[in-house]
Amino acid sequence: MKLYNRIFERTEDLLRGRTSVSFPYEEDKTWPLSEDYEMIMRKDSRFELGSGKRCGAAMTCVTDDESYVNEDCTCLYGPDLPEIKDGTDYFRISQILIRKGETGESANDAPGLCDLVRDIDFVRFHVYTKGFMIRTSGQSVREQVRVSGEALEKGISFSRIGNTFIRMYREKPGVERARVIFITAEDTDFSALEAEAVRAADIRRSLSGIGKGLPRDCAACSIKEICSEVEGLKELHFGYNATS
Amino acid sequence: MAKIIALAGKGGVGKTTVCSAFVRILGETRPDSRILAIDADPAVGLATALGVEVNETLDDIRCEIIEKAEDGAGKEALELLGEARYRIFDALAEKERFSFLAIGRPEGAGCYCSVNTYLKAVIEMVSRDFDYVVIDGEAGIEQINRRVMEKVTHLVLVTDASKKGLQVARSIYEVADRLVMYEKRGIILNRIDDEELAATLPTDGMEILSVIQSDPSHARNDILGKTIFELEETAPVYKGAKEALEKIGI
Repeated sequence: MKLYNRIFERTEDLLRGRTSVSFPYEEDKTWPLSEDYEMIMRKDSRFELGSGKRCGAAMTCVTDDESYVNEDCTCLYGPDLPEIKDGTDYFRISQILIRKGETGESANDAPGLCDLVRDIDFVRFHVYTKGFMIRTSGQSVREQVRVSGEALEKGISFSRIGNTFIRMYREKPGVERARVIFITAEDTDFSALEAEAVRAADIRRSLSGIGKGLPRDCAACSIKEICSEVEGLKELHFGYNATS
Repeated sequence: MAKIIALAGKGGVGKTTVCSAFVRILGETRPDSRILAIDADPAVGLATALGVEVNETLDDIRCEIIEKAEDGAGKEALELLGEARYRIFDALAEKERFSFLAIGRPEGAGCYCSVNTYLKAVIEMVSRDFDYVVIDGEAGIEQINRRVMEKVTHLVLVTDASKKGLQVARSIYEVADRLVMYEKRGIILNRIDDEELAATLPTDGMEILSVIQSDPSHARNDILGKTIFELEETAPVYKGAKEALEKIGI
């Protein structure tokens, strides 16, 4: 499965040489979840990440190549939550390793792969972390966070939020490892990262379309552009339709 | 569980004024509660009464989501729901003591059903995040009939002394009996200076929550473009709204 390989590589290029801290996954140090989506009003929040004109975005990339995701961990580029005073830029990258058998090695695997990638991406809609309200867009790559004063007093940090994400990803059958990267450093090239996020979102939506059975006539297909660009997508598309 | 208070009645009877007074009183008496004011009337008067600037409405968001959903492949229900939840904050005006949402007015002529359907979903979605939701309903019976208000817990009808006003209130009252899961309901008689006349009005068993006299101080405020928060506490509208809230147990 090579669909996201170029994104993994470009992301690595963009972050290479930058200062970061890595926190290995600790299952018992997740941040507590609410039962349902918890709305934090502005007056109850200490600050917002990625709001207004700041960068606020996220992307999810999936691979079966373990060289891209060699351990379960959270990485942080920039200040951690307790160090932030008035909000900052915010970018979340979730890099997920899935088992080889799940990855569409043959055309018959395509529907399962499409569903798995969608389920992995949709985890973001279910992360109801207490005092860390994630506003994630369903139609763009935008993601913003409101952090409550209470959560800060209770010791919230990106490593604990990352642990929660990782646990939720690992609960998906087929997921082997997860790395969650948070970027708050202001001198990051966010526009380049956002461009990668758009590409990742396009791939995921194309996979959903393939799962639903898109037309085989390229001239009439809405994912033609991305299909031509991303290695492996066309094979998945035609392979699946040919066998369905 | 949120208390959802909806105001309904004929157009021009003072619903918006009473609604804004409810929002002010709730904010004053329950400063730690989360209060949401929803302007569900396309006439969009509640924002002005509360001094809120509306940048985006629910209808703006609904249209954008639909437009994007139709453009391209693979939009799924969860993505659309996620987008609605994401975008709701863009339409939510957060003030110190309350938050505000406007339903908006669909572009051009046409059916209002789609906006009402969206409004119903939004009421369900946001009501669990607030302690009190106060809805300034559209004039007439349409939103009650279309079950937009079915989750309403407190239904407050507003009328003046006109026959038409009372007829509309009665119709809403009857329909609401079948379609609204309210705990409490009643009627406010607005702009009635003659107490004897008030006693003779055919309210047909509807519980009278308060009788509000004509309020020159409010009229003056209106002309000067002042908000409900600048009205004296001795003003009949303020006192009448407070009495009505007490009668419905809030």
